[in-house]
Amino acid sequence: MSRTCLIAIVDDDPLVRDSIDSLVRSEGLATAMFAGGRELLGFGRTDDVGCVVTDLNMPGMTGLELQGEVVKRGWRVPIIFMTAFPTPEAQAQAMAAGAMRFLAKPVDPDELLDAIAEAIAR
Amino acid sequence: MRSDRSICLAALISGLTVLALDIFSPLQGAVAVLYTSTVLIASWSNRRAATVMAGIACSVLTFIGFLYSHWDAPFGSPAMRLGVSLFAICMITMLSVRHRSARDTLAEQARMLELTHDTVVVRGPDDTIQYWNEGAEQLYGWTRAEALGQSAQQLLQTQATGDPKTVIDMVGSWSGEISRVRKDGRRILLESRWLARLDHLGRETGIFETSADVTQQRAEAAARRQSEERYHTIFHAAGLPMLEIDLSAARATMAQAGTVDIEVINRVAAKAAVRDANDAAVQLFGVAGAQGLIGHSLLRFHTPAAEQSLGRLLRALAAGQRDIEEEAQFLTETGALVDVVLRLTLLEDDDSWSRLLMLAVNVTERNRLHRRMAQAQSELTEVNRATTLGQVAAFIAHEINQPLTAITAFASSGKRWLAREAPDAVEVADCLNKIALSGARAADVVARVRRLFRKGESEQTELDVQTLIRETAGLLDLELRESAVTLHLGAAPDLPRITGDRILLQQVLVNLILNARKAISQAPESPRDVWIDAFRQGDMVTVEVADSGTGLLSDPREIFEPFFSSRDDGMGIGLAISRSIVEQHGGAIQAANRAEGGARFRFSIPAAT
Repeated sequence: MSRTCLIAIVDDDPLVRDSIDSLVRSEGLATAMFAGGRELLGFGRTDDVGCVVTDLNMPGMTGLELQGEVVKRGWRVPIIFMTAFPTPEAQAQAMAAGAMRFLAKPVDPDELLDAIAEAIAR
Repeated sequence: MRSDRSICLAALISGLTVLALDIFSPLQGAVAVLYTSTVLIASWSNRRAATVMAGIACSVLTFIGFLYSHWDAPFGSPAMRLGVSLFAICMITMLSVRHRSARDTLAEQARMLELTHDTVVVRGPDDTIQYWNEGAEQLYGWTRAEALGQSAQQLLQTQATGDPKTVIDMVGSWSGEISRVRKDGRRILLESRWLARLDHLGRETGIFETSADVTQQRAEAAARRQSEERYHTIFHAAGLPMLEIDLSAARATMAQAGTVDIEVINRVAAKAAVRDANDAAVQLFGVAGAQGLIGHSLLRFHTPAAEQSLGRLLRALAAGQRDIEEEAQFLTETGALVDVVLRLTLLEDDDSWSRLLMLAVNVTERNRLHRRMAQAQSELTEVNRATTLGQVAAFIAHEINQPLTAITAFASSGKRWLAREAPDAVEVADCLNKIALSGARAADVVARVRRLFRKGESEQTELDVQTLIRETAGLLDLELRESAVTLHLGAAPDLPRITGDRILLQQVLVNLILNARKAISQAPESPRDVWIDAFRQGDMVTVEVADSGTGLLSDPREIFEPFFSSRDDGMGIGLAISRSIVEQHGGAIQAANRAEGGARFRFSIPAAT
């Protein structure tokens, strides 16, 4: 990987956001943190983003809406969902729209890192 | 009277003149015959006696003249002349008297014609109007002066059914309906009788007619007929079951019995005959056709419920009510039970109860839906309760899962930072710090939830809203001052007290105030004010928390949903729980954006009674 590969972390809860950030960085990967979907969409270096890890329930724009916007913009980036309240409907919708993984909180760190590794290997 | 006197004078002069002629003239003839003129003059007076007196006086004068002239030779030709004269005077006197009485009768009849309100018109053979009474003046509008001499047809433009003229020519009279035009141009309907006027030879000399205005009568009859037809049409075309019922026999039975018990009702019902029924009624009762109902009673469709309804209907009718509504149940010919709302209306405004309109609206389906809706309602209430619990559970899961996620991730990353070839102590320390923070946050959530659900200890007391606001504001005073937020308290005086749990309501208020503070801190440019107000709205006391912050970015209804959280410090107990507390108190909570910027939250709690 010659180019910088950024892992975008989107969560409105700062503690959760920081923890995922720390976890991903401990694996030697670079990260970019966003408090919401809009912040990510407004990010200048979207080309460098190799994977998006996002919360599902967020104010302003939900993870599913973010996914919809990403798909609409033709931005082909793998998305991993995390949620404290997983419903079969939300999971089905996310997977149908091409999500890479749908993880329930509390997230197993190893599972998340495996998923990220798989995503950026693509 | 004066004319009477002058007539008498004229008669006297005439009599004396004839006497003078008789005595002194050399005329040889029946000069005394001239006395007839005296009698005629006297007959002009208004008194019959005057004519008779004149006749007698003239006879006496004739005698005097005869004796004076022919005393010497009374027999022979002079005596003959005397006889002729007396006969003539006698005849003229009698004729005059008879003529007089005939004229009196005619005058009387003419006055009567004037008096009658009916129109009396006499037309000549050439159709000119010869007589026109006051009734005619009033009815047609033309005065006598205007009408007399006019052609009746030109003036009145008579239109008749058939040909009255031919009938008159054949039988001498005609009666029927005609229409004519009044002076004001309006055509009116008349009931008219025509009679041919004949002369003494039986030749027709015109027509005598009398008429009465029947325009209004006919219009009323037509309106009645039309109304009846319209009723008939509506009755049969209506999609609602309608029956016409004859309760006259039933009324007699009731009047005899005096009371209205079940036994009487059954007898009455047996006598309540259906006079007419429309298609919808036929369908309702499941009979083959209207003949299955007409002439019969509704007794065979009765259920015990119908009997009770009928009893109430009859009592209401007997009490003088004209429109009665009652719900009843019938058993149709096909064996189905139908619920109907009966509406009974007396059609004839009499006490015989011979024509009643019975509207039978089938409400079976409506009642079934009502029952089903009531059931659904109770099910829904159950579901709602479960949903609220589910929401609270989801809220707790979410609130605990967040710090738990952070703890797991930090722990895992801390291990990784340590396992590196060059362990990063700073990162590890950060991880451990945040783990501690997350743990505290989770503990906080647990503590708050535990507080919230210590229901047994929840105390319902009467609370003063102003005190509640003041105390809560006092609790947060320090935090608000640290964030440089100014709190404005303003509550309406004389607010009623509310009943509730002080701690729980305080939690709601704390949550709203802290949310407001957060919204302000997210908008650094805006003023830093929070207003708390309380006022009365009907039976509710409303508390309002408004801020000058960012305002609500999402749908104000959504923010009360369990996961909806835009906070990052985990403070407050969440709007979902706030709503749950307010609803527990029988109140409601709402959020909206202020026109001036910022958000406004309001919750209402019923005032204590």
